Amino acid sequence: MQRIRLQPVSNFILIPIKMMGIDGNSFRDIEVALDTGATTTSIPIYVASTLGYNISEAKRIEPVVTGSGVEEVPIIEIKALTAIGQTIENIEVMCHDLPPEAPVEGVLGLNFLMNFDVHISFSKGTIELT
Amino acid sequence: MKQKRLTIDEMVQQYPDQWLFIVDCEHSASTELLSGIVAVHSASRDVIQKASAEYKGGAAIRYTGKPPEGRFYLL
Repeated sequence: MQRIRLQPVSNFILIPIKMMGIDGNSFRDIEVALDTGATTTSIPIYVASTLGYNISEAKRIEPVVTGSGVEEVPIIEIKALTAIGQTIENIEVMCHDLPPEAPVEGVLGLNFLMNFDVHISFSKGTIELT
Repeated sequence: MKQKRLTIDEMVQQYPDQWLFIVDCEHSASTELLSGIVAVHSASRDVIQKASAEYKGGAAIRYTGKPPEGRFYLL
């Protein structure tokens, strides 16, 4: 079991995620929102590019229904994604830039979360993955 | 001059309402960022994106501000 403290900075459940680069060595750690309404984890395009993933050669491009309509979004597979101390290797992520007004740069979606049991305690201020 | 390692709390105090590009990161077992060295800080996210593009190692990106009061979100 791994646990982190919920951050009291907003009404979001902010989760730090660590994505491994295509070289297996570099990484970027950004904060995203935990989103059980998202089928797939999304990361900003610049982070994917920085880590060496070629968006123009995405695994596929899929229509994604967002709050503002349907968008064609590249799907790539990254070497590893770690959140709350748990790592999934070779996981698909959507490369998608949220609007600049968004206080996070992406979301941690169900394709990661459904590999675990997720326990959120608002009274204790913790979130656990088991 | 060698930059000083800071904890996250120290970063928030020292660089309020800023985007930070943090290198030499120390993480907990549960992937929480404990400390690091602030390589770049700016009120502009674009500056941090440029720093990220130019840096090939491991790094973290954080914003030390808070979302505006009274704003609602649907991501």
